[in-house]
Amino acid sequence: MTAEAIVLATTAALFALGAAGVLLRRNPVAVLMAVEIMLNAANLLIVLGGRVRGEVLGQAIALIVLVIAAAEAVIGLGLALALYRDQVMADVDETREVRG
Amino acid sequence: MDALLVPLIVGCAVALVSALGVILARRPVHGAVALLIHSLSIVALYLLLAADLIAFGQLLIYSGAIVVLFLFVVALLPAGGIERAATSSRIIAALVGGGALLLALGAVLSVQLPAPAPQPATGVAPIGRALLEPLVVPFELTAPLLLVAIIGAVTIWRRQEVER
Amino acid sequence: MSALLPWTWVLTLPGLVLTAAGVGRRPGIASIWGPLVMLLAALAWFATGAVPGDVVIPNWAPFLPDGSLHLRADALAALMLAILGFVSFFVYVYSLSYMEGDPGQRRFFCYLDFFVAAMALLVLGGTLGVLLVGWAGVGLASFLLISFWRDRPGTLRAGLDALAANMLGDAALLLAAVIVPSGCGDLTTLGTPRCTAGLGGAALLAWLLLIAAAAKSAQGPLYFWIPTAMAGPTPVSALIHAATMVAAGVYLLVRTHAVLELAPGVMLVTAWLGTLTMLGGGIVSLFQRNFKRGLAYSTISQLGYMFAAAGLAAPFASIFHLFTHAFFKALLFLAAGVAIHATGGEEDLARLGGLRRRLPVSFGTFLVGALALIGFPATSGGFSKDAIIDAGLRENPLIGYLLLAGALVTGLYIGRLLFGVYFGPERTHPHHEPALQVWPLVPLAIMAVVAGYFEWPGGGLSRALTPVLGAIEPLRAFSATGLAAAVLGLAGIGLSWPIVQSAPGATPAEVGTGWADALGQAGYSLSRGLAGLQTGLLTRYALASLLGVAVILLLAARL
Repeated sequence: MTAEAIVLATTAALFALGAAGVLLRRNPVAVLMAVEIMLNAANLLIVLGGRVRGEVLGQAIALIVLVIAAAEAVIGLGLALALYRDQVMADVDETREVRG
Repeated sequence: MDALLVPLIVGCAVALVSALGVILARRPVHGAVALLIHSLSIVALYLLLAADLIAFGQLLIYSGAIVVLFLFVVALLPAGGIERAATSSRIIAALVGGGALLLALGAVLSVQLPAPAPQPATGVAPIGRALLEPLVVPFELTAPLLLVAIIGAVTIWRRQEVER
Repeated sequence: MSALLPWTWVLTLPGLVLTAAGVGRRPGIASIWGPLVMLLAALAWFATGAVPGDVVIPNWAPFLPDGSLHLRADALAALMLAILGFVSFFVYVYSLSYMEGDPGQRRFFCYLDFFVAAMALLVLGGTLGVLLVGWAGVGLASFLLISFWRDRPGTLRAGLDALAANMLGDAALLLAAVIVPSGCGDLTTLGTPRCTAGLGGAALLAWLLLIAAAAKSAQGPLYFWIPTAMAGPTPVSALIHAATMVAAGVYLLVRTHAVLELAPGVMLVTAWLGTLTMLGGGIVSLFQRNFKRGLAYSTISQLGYMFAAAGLAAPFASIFHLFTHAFFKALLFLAAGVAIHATGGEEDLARLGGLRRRLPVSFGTFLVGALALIGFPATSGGFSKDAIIDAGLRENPLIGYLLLAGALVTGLYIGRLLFGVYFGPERTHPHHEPALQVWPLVPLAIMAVVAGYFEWPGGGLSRALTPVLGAIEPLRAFSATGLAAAVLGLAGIGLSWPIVQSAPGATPAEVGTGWADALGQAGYSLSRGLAGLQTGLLTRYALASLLGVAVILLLAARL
């Protein structure tokens, strides 16, 4: 089991865990935290790829992804807080505005 | 690489456990702390993969800004952000979704990884060059992206204020 | 036989003279033998080895670069003569009864004789000059026959409309004959580099040929004269405006396919002209209140198929469809004529109905013709239409799919006519079917089914035409596209039933509540059902998208 293979497996497991968290949690902020886990997993995969190929491009891409993660966290959290309009508890499934 | 195998396994383990902590924590505050630990473990993994710049980027940007942002927001949540218990259908959905993805990713990623190629000179200069040559467009676009994010966040909050 | 066939165009002239002179108990009896002999001559030619024969009389028309009287009998000409002889013989017999009692009956048969002679000359023409004489001759005959009933209003105008369109075609063809370099009049050498080196090159020549053909075959904007041409007697509509004269345009394109193939831009225009005319003609047919006009637009639509095939570099498919179409379209018109004649000249769909009980043979044959028209498998129309759709899917898939979709429109309009006239309540009481009008329908119906078997299996027709048309794609019978076209055609017929049910002579525009509403209701419930998927439950959306990602990843791993 090479080091790279271990990291690869970890990436896959982390992504799946994040996905499970998205489906599991009802609190919007918790959902967002699960999304962050998925994002980190993907970033890890990119860096791993760069290392295996011996290119520095992997890190550069990962840096850009990091910035995207920041932007996404900002908007996501803004939206999550907005769901709490005058209520104590916000449930992801109670918001029906995206209905057809 | 063998010498670093043990720290690597430890780092991966911490990452996995803290991720579990994030998704299973009942109170978002605990989840946010778990996220912080998770992020730091990723930093460790980056360092072990000889990706120094991105490790520090993760440390400063992610752990230092994004997770802190999460902590602030969690602090602002009324009643600490409690939520109803997960119904059984949600648990099943989570297991199904997570399991399916694990399977799929396993299928895709079960490639025979070649031995790591000799690493080029690390340091900021090669990464900077990569950012400015092949990745110049995404690099330039991150600026408007952040601008849009800021404006978006402010707009969402202004709507909130108006409604109140 | 090869020396005699080029002269078969004179065969109806004795009949013309005899009928004009009043010979025979019934006017026209003397004339019916001309087409029969023509048919037998063509068949004998095929039977005795199909040896091409030429007759050349030089310097016959000095104003043309190649002014020789050149008659050429080859497989294509013989095929056209066979079609002409067969269909016109039965139209003549039919007319013995249909025109009975008409004061102009003798004049009618004389005009028909003239037409057949001109048409035969057209197909036997070895040079553009001779073809042009035949071309103009059939145009004149068409005018005379459309405006046959001088006492009825509008017939003269209709004849002049036809003449106008024909004039345009004649001008184009004359111009084509003039710009060809001297010594190049022979149609078989028209595609060679020497002969397309004249003014404008191959492209101009191809354009002129296309315009001439489109005028004769009522394609595109030049369609206008055919609907009004229905003012003529129904046998005329059957013979001239369905089976033969309008097919002359297609014949021209097939005969000069070598020139067309040198001008790919013109080919593309031809293919699109045919396709759009096919669709347009079919759709407009749905809105006709007149039985014969409905069939007239059908002719325009089917000619569109033939033009499309010519533009898709499939001249054999084009001529094959011309062959089968001649039989089933003449059949449809003659059967319609029986119904019109039996109801005392009633052509309005709103006043026709339920005729199948009293006119069983014409109903049966109309049904056969309708099935051949939609391309029902194993009918002649099935084979030929499939050949064209196959050519389309091969050369230009967009056109191919449009041609396939045309099968649905075809089913719709012919179903509307079939159900509207032969089913439902009897609105105008018909007389019985006269025998002389009815028994010619039977051989035409037989040919409408059987004509395809000249080609499949065995490739007899394509083998015969290979010397003229070059290598020919083998026919794929009973293919998936063929079945799809047949299903679409049957679906169209099925869907036409509600149109017919709503009101006598109804067009799709008038099918108010019921049809349109049912369609709208179906659409609404479908969209409501789909909207049910939009639950607003974010978790459901997330699960769906994550599972989708998993599927995509698994598929990627397979590759």
